[in-house]
Amino acid sequence: MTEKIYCGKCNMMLYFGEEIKRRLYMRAIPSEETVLGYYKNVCPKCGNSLSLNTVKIETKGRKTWLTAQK
Amino acid sequence: MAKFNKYVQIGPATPAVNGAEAAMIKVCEKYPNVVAVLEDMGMPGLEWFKKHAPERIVECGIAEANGAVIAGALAAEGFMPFLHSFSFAVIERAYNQIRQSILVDRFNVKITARDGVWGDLGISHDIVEGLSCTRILPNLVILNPADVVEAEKAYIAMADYVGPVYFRMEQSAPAPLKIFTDDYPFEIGKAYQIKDGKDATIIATGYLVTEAIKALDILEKEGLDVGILNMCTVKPLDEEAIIRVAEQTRAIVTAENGSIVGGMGDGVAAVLGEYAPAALVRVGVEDEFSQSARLSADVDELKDLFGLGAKDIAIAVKEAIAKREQFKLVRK
Repeated sequence: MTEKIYCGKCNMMLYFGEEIKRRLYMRAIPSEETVLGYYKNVCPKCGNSLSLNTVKIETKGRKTWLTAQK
Repeated sequence: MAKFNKYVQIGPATPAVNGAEAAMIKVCEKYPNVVAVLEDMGMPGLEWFKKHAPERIVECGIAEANGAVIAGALAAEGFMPFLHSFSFAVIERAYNQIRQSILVDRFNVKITARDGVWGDLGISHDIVEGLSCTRILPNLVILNPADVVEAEKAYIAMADYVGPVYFRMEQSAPAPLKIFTDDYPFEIGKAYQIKDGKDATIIATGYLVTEAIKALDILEKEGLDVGILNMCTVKPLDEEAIIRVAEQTRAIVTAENGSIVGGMGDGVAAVLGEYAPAALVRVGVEDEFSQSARLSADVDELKDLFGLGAKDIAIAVKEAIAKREQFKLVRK
């Protein structure tokens, strides 16, 4: 599963990689908020304030038995 | 004469690395945490470092695996290391270290490397596997600019993005054409439609965008209206753009200066297979190693040998159109 986080205003891609919550243990990045913190919660391209309400989060992966249950 | 879209104005051949040089200076001035991690090679903007910030140079010598681990460690402490060498060294020799010490923790390391088939350095130094062996690594963004303008903009975008990036440079001769205007709006993850076309679309990356543009002249003489989609971001691929052009023409040619095994063309093939069936021909190096030209730096000989030139792309376009008719695929 992969995840992308985009600025909701200018669409700059802020994160691309493994789905953040997917790793069962030893998570390199604990949460989406951590990613926004890397940017000091400001989009480097348009200056938009970054929070979970102002970004678009897309996760993608093949449907499996486990994900189908959800 | 082909009618190109906005932000495209074809100019003389200019080395893409010039754009990376210009960008690196801007990046160093904007981000004081940038450090140059060298592996007995120069890098774009090195003169700036020597003059203004020699303390920000870490020379690892010919110890590429060590360089990757050092870069990961520096990133863990808040630096933004730029790691530079030939792709065979910085990527292939340090593959495990890049995986374990940079990508697993998604450290903010920028890897810039020379990659691709032509040049006079031969089978050891001019490798064609760079895109293939990096595409399968999670957490890594891959950029492969088409011209000097895109190289500069992509380099700056790479620094603004927090996370590991592989910036691929085909910096040996021949230089690509200057393709984009200075106000071209580059975005990581977005392909740019250089030209629309009804009969087929060439999805090209890096130097092969130049060859695709040259191929248009051949194809237009034969009455074919062919589009070009510039795929600078090889990972993540702009699936929306691929699906859009596939539905429009149902005849796709991919063009890359690298192996077709696992390369950008394979990525496009997966998107087409899963979402938008279309006839496909992949232009790139077949399942073989690079070579030196018989005459030093006679790159045209290599271009012909590997089938990477405009004439080869034109043949592939006609083959893709023939396949579309054979498969009875219907355009939108």
